[in-house]
Amino acid sequence: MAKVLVADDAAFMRLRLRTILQQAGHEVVEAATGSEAVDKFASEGPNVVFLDITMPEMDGMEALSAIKRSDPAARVVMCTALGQQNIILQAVKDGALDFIVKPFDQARVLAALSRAVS
Amino acid sequence: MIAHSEGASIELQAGLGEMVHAGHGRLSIHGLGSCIALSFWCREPRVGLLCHIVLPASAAGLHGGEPARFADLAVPGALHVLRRQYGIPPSRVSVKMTGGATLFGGTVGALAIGPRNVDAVNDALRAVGLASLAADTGGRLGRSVLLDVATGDLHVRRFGAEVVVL
Amino acid sequence: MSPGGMAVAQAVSSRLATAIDRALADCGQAIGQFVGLATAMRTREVLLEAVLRVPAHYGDLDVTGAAAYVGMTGDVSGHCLLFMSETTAKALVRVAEETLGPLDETLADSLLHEFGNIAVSAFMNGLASAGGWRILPTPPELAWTVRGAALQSLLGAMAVETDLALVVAAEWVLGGRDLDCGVLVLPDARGLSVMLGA
Repeated sequence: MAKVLVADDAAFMRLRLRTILQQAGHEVVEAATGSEAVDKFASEGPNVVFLDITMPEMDGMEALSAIKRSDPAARVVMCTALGQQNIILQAVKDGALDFIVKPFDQARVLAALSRAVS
Repeated sequence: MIAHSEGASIELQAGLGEMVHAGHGRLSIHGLGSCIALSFWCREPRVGLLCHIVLPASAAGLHGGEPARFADLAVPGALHVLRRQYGIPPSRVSVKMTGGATLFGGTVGALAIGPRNVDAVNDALRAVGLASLAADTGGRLGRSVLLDVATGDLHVRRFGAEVVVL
Repeated sequence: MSPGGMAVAQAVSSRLATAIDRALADCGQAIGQFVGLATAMRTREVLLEAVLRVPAHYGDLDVTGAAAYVGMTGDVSGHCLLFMSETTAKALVRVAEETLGPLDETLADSLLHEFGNIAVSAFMNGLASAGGWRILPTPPELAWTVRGAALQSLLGAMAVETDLALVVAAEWVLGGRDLDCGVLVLPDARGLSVMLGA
């Protein structure tokens, strides 16, 4: 059982991920912006973060850098519709463990989670 | 310009930058965002004219030929048509306007041209000694308009709010 | 070929035409996966047209529905729109409710907002990959409005700086039923010069 922080500006997406993760027995906390994600990472101490990129205020790439700065061992999985090679490479270089391109299915999410916590 | 005929009543649609006018029937714009629908109406002779204005002002060398593209040219252009084609002087015309909304984007940038269009139309009217009798402008909602030439009523359908008749 | 528009084959390189085709195919695939319904492209249009005459290519400007606006930034900048009728929007919400349970208005709107994000991002990903560009979407904005007003808002913004637009548009039928959606992509003047330089 993992504690997962789901960061996405779309409430619908947070619901989808929450549903998948809770049904698999995990605990979920949510954030709607990059800055909220950074704050909740500090206050909630999740095992894994699912991070969207296209968000208002602070985007996911900035949030990724901030989270990794606060905890270099942070386990972050990018979960975004923005799937371009240079972005993926940048995210991995900045410390993301995995990169899920939306739209995703349940299997992809759970596989990414299990890889991230192992 | 698209024309529809329903029985005896004709409807002329003004596309972007277009100006339509008639002595009967209805004049319309289907889908108004940042653009301005500017109506001119005269009771006697009964004439309606509708402009679909896109931008505030013409820049030197940038004029594609659509008579109502720019507010500063649309107003004198409309008065010219009313005078030349129908013998109507500005003093016999009532003016109404609607549109100038911002559906997307914040308050700056090209998507926010709506309020600037409203100001430009008011400036252009003032420059020829006119003012709009009634206006429903701005906001974040799209609109569609219909000018009933028989009555001069401008029916404004607002998507997300109630219909108003100016 | 649409009346008044210049066929893209005459106006742009075949490499760009191929890039756009790939992007539209990726877009359609993402749409199908997101809505969870079989998806078929019904119409596809790529042409250079006078900005003010673009609406003439659209059948029904009076359809009321959900319009998701996504801005395009990066190497290729511009404006994008996902539009679907109210009927389609409501049907898609019901499909989602089959797995997620009842969705209130906020969640239903969020679904449409995310639909815009996914569809337009998929197009950008395909175009970026084919052209070797970096193209980034802005967070979507949703408006319940009539198609003509949403379209006009983008065209008004385009008209501020240009008379001519590269119009990339496609419609897909969803689930083989009376449900459809359309995507429109308008590179702005800067974006167009980058694309044409490819």
